[in-house]
Amino acid sequence: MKVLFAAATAYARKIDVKPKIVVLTSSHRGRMATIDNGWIVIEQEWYAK
Amino acid sequence: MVQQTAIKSLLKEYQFTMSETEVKTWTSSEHGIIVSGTTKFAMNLNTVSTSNPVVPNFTQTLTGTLTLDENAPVVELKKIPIEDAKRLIHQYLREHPGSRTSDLIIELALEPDIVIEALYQLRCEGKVEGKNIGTK
Repeated sequence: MKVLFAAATAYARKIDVKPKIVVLTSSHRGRMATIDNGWIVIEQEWYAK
Repeated sequence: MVQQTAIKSLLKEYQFTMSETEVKTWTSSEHGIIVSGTTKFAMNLNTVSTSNPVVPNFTQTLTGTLTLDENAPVVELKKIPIEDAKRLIHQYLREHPGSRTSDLIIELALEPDIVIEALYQLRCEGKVEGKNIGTK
């Protein structure tokens, strides 16, 4: 399964950021991380009304 | 300092019972961290050498390999009644507008499930507004 997000935070036992640069799209480069035993929160910004 | 942390992480990742002081020498190279220690350490690593086991790629991922550090401060995420969580979150957002969900989780030390449910209820009640990151 692939989940797209603008921002997310991972809480995990182990986070391994791979050193190589990965092509995300034709115009975007990024990094890859493998995450074991945890969860991911898809972020939003919150404002009190 | 980074190397000491790396050794600690190495020991933990491979579940060694050996203490840090039992690591006699270590060096890093492009192939990984080379540790000279006890035979037990070397045999547990199951490498070709009993005195200089090599952990492939460890150095390459050193800056990004994050494992549990027992000495780091621990944040215990609490489960509290939903109404209490809603009150805390609403108050926090009045003081810190634009906080992210993860800010609420860590700063208030609350279980993510509680925070997400509280935010959902607060939004339904019209007390908070959530915006996707990167949108106006």
